[in-house]
Amino acid sequence: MDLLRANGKMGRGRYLFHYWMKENLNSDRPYDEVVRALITASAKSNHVVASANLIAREHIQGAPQPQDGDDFSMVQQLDTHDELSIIYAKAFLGINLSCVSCHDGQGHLEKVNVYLSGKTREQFFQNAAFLAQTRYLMYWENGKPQSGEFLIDDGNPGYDTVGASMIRVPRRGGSNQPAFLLTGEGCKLEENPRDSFAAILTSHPQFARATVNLFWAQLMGLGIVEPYNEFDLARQDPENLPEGWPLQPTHPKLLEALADDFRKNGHSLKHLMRTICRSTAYQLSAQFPAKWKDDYTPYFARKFARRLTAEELHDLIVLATERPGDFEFGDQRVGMALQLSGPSGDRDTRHFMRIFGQSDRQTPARRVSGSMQHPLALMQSPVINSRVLAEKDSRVQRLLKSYSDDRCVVEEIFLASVSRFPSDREMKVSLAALAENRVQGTQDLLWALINSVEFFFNY
Amino acid sequence: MVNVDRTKRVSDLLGTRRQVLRIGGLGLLGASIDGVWPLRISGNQIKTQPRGNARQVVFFEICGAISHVDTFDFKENPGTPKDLNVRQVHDDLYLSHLLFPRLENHMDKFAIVRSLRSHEEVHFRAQYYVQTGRQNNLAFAQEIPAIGSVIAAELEPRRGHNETFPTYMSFNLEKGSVGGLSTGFLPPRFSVVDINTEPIVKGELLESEASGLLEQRWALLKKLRESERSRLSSFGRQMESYHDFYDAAYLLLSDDRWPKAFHISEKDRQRYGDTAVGISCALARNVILQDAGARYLHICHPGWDHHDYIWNRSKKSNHYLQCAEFDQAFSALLEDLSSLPSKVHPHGTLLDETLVVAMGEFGRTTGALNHMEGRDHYNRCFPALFTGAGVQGGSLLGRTDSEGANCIETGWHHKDQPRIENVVATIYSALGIDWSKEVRNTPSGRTYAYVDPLGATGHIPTDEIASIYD
Repeated sequence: MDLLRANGKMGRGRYLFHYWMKENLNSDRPYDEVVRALITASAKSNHVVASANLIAREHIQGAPQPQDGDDFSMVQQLDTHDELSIIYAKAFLGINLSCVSCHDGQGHLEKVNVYLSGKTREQFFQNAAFLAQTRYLMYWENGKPQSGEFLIDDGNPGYDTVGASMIRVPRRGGSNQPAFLLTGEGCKLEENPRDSFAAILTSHPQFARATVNLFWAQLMGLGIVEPYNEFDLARQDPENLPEGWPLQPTHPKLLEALADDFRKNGHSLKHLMRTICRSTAYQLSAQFPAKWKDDYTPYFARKFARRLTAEELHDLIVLATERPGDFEFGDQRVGMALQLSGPSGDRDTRHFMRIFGQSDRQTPARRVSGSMQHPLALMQSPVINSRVLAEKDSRVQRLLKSYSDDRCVVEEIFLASVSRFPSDREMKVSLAALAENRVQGTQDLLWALINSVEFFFNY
Repeated sequence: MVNVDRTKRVSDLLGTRRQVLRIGGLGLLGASIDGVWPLRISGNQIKTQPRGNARQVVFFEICGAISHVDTFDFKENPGTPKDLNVRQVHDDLYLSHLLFPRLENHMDKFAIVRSLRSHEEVHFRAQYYVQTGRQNNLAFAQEIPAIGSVIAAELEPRRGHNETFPTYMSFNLEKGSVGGLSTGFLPPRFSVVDINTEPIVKGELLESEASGLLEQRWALLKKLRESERSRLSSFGRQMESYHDFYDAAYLLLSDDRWPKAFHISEKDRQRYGDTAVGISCALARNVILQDAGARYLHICHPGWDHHDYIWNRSKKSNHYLQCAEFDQAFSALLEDLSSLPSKVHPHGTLLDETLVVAMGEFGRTTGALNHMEGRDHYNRCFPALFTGAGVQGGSLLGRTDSEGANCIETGWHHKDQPRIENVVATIYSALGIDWSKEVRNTPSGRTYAYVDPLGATGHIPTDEIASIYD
C-alpha cells in the first residue's frame, strides 16, 4: 500500500481500496489483471468502486473550492494525467519518469540514467496522452470539497501539450498522439486509450521484470536492480552496454528467469513469493562463514540483516507484551498496525511509527537510516514502557501469576521477544534481576530484550 | 571570529571517527546502507570567507507560510482589517500593534530581508527546499541530506568530549509537511533528533526524568548485551552500529543537562505561552543554555496556511491567533537570548553568539482577499528576519512595490533576488562552514554542492546575504 500511496486523498475510499487489495492478494488474482483494473477504472464514486482509488489518490487539486457551480477546475486535469503516468511507470515498470516530466533527458540525465537521457518531454506527453481522456471531478457541497470523493470517466478531450501546469515548468508543446514511452506503440482506433495503455503496459517484459525485482528487493533486502524503481533500460543487457557503464542488474539471467516464470504462471504473486522463499539464496543464514567484505554484497552470499519496518516493530512489541494497540480503521477498531490501511493511532504511537520510517503515503518515501533517535524512542516511548508493566493482562502480569519458577518466566520472556532460549549466561543475569525484585526484574528484562538490537532486526 | 584554516579541505572531515566507514562495492548499486564516509570534498572554487561568528543557529520556520503583506512587509490593502492598529516602527517598517505587541519592541534587533524569492509554490516542495536548500529532485532525493545534517557532519571535528546533545535538533519538525529528512548520503549519526512538544504542553513528564529506572534497566541491558555482542557482530554493520547509537543515546539521557533542558517552569509557560511553539522556543533557549553540543535548532511553527477566512476569529486557525502565539513565543526567546550572558563573549549575550533566522517557505497572495476571504500561495517575494551574531539590527533590506507583489530592490549586491540557497549560505557562513564545498563521492556519482549554484531555474549567485551585517 506504500507503493500505491493509499491515504486520505482517497477519502473513505481508502478502506474499500485496502480491502480490495487484500482480497486480490488472498485470492491470488493475476497481478496484470489487478494493474489493468487500476489503470482503466471508471466510477461514479471511488467510495463505491475500489479500483478507482489509485486514480483518486493521484489527483492534483487545482483550487481550494469551486468558483461557481460548473467549475471542474478543482482537479487540475492535465497535471493529474502526468502524475498518473509517473506513478504507473514507477510502481509497475520500475522506471522514474519524474525528470522527463519537466524536461528532455538530454543534457540532464547522462550521468544518471542512460536510457532516460534519450527520452524527451514530448515522449512523456505522448505517454500521458493515453490517460488524457480521463476526467476527474471532485464532489463538493456548500463550497467545500467532499472528503476525497471523485467521479472518474472519459469525458476529457485529450492531452494539451501547451496547457498550463500548477506544479511543473510550462508545457511548451509537442505531439499529443498517444505513444507508449518504451516502444512507441500507439492506440488502437476502436479502443479506449486507457484500455490500450493498460494492455500494452502489462504485456511489456519490463512489467514482469519490475514486479519480480520489487518482490525480490522486499524479501531479500536488496533488489537485483537497485533502487528497485530506478531501472536504466540501457544497462540491462551484458552484451550491449553503453561505454563506461556497469551492468545495472547484479544477476541479469536470474532477473529474466524470474520474470519469465512469473509470466508463465499467470502473473501469480503467490507463486512468485513461493519461488523466492524456496530458493537457497533466501534461506541462507545471516552469518557468513568467513570474513565478510562489502564487495560480496551483490552476490547475495548471505541474508542481509534488515531493520523491521515501523508496523512490524509495533506489532512485535504487541506480541511480546500481549498488549494490543487500539487503532481506528473505518468504523472498526483493530489492535495491529499491519491491519491498517495507513498511519493511525494515538499521539505517542504515531510519533514512534514516524521515527521508524512509517510512510505517510504522501511525501516521497523516506529511507530512514538508523540513528540515535531510535534508541531514544525505544528506551523512552510509552509504546514500550507502558506495555512491559505487570498490568492490564500483559504478558508480564500473566507470567508472574502463572509460574512460580523464575526460570520459566525468563525462558518465556526470551521466546516471546527474541524467539530463542537464553544462553546460560543470559539466564544467570536474568535470574539475578528477578531475584532482586520479581515484578520489577521481569518488567526490566522484557524492556531490555525489546531494546536489544536483535529484537528489531530481521536476520 | 573563529579562525578558519583555509588549507584544510578533505582533512577537515578525516580521522575524527573511531571507525572510518567505507562503502565499497555498494556504491555501484547505488545503495548506501551506512552512508558515504569519508567524503571526497573539493572546495573553494569560489572564494568564500566563512564568518564563523555564531556558535549556534536557531532556524524558526513559519510552516505553512505567513502572509507577508499583513506582517513584516506590511502593505495596506482592501483586505486589511480595521483593528490592526498599524504603527511605524522605523523608516518604512510598519507593524500591527494588535498582532505583535511584544515583538514590536524587538524590531530594532532585526535585519529584515524583504526580497526573498522561492521557485516553489506548494508546501511540501517549498519546505523541502527550506530544509535542504535545493529543489526536490525525485531522482536524487534519497541521497540529499538536510542542511542540519551537513552542519552536524561539518562540526563533528569541533565537538568537545562533554558534548552529548545531537548537533542537529528540531522541535515539532514532524508536524511540518516534510518531516525530518534522512541524512541522505551522510552517515546516520548526523541525523536530526526531533522533539515532539505535545507531552510537555500537556504537562506530562518526559520519561527521561524517571532516570533511576532507566539506569537500572540500562545496567541489565548492558549485561545482556555483552553476551549478545560477539554473536551479533557477524550480522553486518547496520546492526552493529546500533550499539554506538545506544551508547550515544544513553550518554545523552544520563547527562543531567538533558532533563534540565526539558525543565519548563510555570513562569516560562506564562511568558512563552502554553502552546507548541511556546514550548519549542523555551526548549530551544534551554538547549542553548546547557551548551552541550546542539548547534542547529530547527523550530517548526505550523498552521499558517490561511486559504480561507484569514481574519475570522471564530475559525479554529486564523491570523490573529497564529500571530498571538508567534508574538509571545518568539519575543520571549529574543528577550532571554538577549539578556542571558554569552558563554564565550565576556560582555556579550547568548544572542551575540546565536544567529536567529525566521521565515516562511513562501509568501501569500497580495491585494484583496480571495473569494474565500483568505490568501493563497505566493512565491515572488517574501521576507526573512535575521538577528543575533553580529547582524545589524534595525536594517531593512530589499523593497517591494506598493502591493508587496513585486520586488523593486533586491537588498544585496546582486540584481537577482536572494533565494533560500543564499539563506543557507548565510547560515553555513555564520557557523564557519565553507559553503563552496562540493562532495564528489555520492552514491549516484552526482556532485553534491553545499549550496547548489544551478538553482531550479538556471545559474544563481551562491553568496551569503552579507548585507544583513552592514
